[in-house]
Amino acid sequence: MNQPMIDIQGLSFRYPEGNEALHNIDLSIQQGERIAVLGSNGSGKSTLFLMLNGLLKPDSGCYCFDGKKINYKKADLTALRKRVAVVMQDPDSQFFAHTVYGELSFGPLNMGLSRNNAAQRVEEVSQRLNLANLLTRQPQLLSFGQKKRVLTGAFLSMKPDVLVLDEPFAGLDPQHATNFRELLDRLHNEGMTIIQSTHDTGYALEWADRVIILHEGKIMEAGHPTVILNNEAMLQSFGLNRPTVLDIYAGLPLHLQTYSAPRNVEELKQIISSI
Amino acid sequence: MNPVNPHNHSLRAVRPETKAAFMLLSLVLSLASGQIVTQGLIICMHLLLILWANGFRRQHFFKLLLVQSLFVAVGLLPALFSLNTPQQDVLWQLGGIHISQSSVHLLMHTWFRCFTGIFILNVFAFSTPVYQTVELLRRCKVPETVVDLLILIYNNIRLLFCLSEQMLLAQKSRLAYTGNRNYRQAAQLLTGIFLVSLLKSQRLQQNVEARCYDGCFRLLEPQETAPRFANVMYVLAGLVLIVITVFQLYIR
Repeated sequence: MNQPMIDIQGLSFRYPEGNEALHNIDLSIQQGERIAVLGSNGSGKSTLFLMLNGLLKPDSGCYCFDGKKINYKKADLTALRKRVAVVMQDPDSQFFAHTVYGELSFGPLNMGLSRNNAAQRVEEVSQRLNLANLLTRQPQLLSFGQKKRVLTGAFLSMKPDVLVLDEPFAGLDPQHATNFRELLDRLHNEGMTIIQSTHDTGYALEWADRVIILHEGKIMEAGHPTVILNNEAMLQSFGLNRPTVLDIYAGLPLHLQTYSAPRNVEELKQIISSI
Repeated sequence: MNPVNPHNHSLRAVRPETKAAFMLLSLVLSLASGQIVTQGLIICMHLLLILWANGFRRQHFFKLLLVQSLFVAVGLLPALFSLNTPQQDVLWQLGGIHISQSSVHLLMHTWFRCFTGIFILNVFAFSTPVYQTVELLRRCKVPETVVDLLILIYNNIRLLFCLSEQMLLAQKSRLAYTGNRNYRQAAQLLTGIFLVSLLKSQRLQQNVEARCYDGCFRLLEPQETAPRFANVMYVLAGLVLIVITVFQLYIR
């Protein structure tokens, strides 16, 4: 097996106020994997994500990225943040430039790229995310969906190896959500490792290679989506719902449940139509 | 509740150096000449710019101008009153306090001079997006710390205004400011804004650090092409102002 891209062992973190946000987390993520992190509010998802690019330093445990242990020195952290992009949930708190163009150029310039190269990155990202007509606009005045695209673009312009997204679909209308899903699929096809938190177990079932369930700062379950998300009692104990597709599949007569569990509506339709 | 963007018009793309030079020239000439005719001419030149610019938010501009002018007028009111005035000059008096012809003249003259300055600065503010102002400051070798603070403060002021509007709506929806606890409720609003601003600052800090921030806000800005005549118009307007001011000084 290849060396994991992200390797966390025994990671724990307690906030200054006293609440232990993460307890003894062990996690390995391979390059190119799609990971869905599920958990109720306050389970530690955001804290875990802030650990992944070194914004929070663990109280104990070891974090290795691409085989190298992170020592939390400035040079280490800068190198880490060039490769791991963490996009937090609320875009309104995260803009400070006066144009979208400026916002997209901030990361590449901080990475040491020349002005020309940074401008090229901005052009590439704006074409990719359909931001070309928004470049001269103030990010704070955009619609929510546009803000999310700009925020994602601000990190994609740094060309990270790992993209971590904290509830990227929260607040998006169906059209924007569909466009964003397509973007994530394209990024995955290009080899990017993507980790996202979501409350949508149906989407996690369809999209993820692996699902991780966090509860009260601990990893309770981790594994293939069709296995983890099929256990209704377990999910409810962690404040989650079983995906509707699996609910319907579970409702089929037992002799019809011979197929592997479906991961989306289309697969379920095929199972039902083949009866 | 979408805030208005005042910079979405054809003057926006004019070179910021041109706009700044015209603004400074207008201010200097207005203060130096002291003549109402010159100041009126300066206002007319700026008015022509506003009227020419497509998309210029004139309604907002004039509303803001009105508020500022009234503010200045109220501030200058004490200059209207005097204690020692020659009797022939007195227009009105109450006890030992007089309003004289010369004080009225002084007030009007001063107010008009201030009004001209406000007009010029407002046209500059409405025609120049903040990122152009920041670029100008950098070229003038203003310390980076000052420029970065300006960027952050401007961003946070806007954010706090939006936030306070939302909080105020939430309060009013729950019947706030209808009884005798208005001051307490206003204090709660201010406290809420303060706390939220701390949280948002922390999140912004996380975001910029996640993008390898090292203490300096390096940004590129879009290169825009101004309408061809726009830059020329500014230069011509500046030349006309200079010629007329010199002419007036010569006549005097």
